[in-house]
Amino acid sequence: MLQDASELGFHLTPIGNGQILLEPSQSLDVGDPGTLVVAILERLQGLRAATLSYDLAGLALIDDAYCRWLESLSNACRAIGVRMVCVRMQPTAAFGLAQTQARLPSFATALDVGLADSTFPDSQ
Amino acid sequence: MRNAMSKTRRTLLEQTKLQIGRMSSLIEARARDVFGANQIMSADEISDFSVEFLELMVALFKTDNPLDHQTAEFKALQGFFSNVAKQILLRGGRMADFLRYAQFLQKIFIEALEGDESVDGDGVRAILLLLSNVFNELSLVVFESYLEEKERTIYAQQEELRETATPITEIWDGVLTLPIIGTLDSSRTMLIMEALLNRIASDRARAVVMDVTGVRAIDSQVSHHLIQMVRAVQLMGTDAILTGIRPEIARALTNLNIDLGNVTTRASLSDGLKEAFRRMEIHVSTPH
Repeated sequence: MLQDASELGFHLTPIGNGQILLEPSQSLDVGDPGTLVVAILERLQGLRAATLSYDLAGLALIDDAYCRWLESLSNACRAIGVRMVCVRMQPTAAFGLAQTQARLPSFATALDVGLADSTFPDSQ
Repeated sequence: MRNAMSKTRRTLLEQTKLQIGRMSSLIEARARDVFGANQIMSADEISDFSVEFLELMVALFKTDNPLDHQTAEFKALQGFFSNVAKQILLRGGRMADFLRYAQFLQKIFIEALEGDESVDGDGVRAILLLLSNVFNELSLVVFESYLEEKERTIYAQQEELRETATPITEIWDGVLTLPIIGTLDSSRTMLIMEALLNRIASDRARAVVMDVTGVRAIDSQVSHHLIQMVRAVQLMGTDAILTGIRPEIARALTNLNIDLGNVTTRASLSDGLKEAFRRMEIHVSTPH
């Protein structure tokens, strides 16, 4: 029996062509990535997802822990053949990440959901 | 002590009330000379100024202690002077003129006592002390207003400089160009980055071409800033293309072990634009 996604702090919406939109809520606990990753991957497989668009619109800042969480989810998605793209990163979050991270994070980014096909780093 | 203060302010109050017409004429005449000739103040404004100033002074002399800067009457007088000073500055008046005018206003009160034989030496000293205290405080208010206005002007100029220092242009739908000219230090990088990232979000830009032809010299700090800027743009999901890296800058980057592996570079701004168009599948053709 799958635990309720909203209880875990995220919401998944199929938006067509194998694309799934993940909207995290404030209650998403990235301190326990193991449980979360499994819960998300199980649902993605159930939905036959090809691309996961992770919506960052609600995050004004992305700290180290959240960045690591995004990278680990992105790597796990890759393992099951799903491409994860972070969309709608806020200027303040991009500004902060560029200042604090010594390298570019390994997850792909796109300006918005509809543009998730032509993104960094895949377009490089 | 209390009695002496009471006598001082009573004398000032009586003489001001007795000679208010003459004092008002003198105040207006001098104001016309100083501020009327170059249209800093109109005749009506000069008349209003004189009336309000004398009313406020009378109100101050009526208080128990005119030297108490915390009373509503004293604050009203300060506020009045501050407003007039700002108005004069805004209209191009000189602060020195207004300060001299404030000294003249003090002199008017001293001259008003000339005919009063009831005032002895101690009384004159007390009155002079009171007036100089009040007018010194008013001069300070004028000076603070002057500083405030100057700071406002400097801030406005800085804002203008900031805008001209980051000329971000949407050269095509979804394509931004940013020519970087001059020195790239930490504070300027922050400003450019902030402006650029906000512009990417508002214009939904798909590609940014950053041209560094105008960057004269590069050191490890500047190159670090450049890389940060490119990274931030990429994190937003926008393609970053760096153009115009001159040979000596390229050599400096190599010497500094700066890895441009993740950065798309092109020789010139036009090549950068072509690359942006290619990525966005925009075809530009010239008629034959």
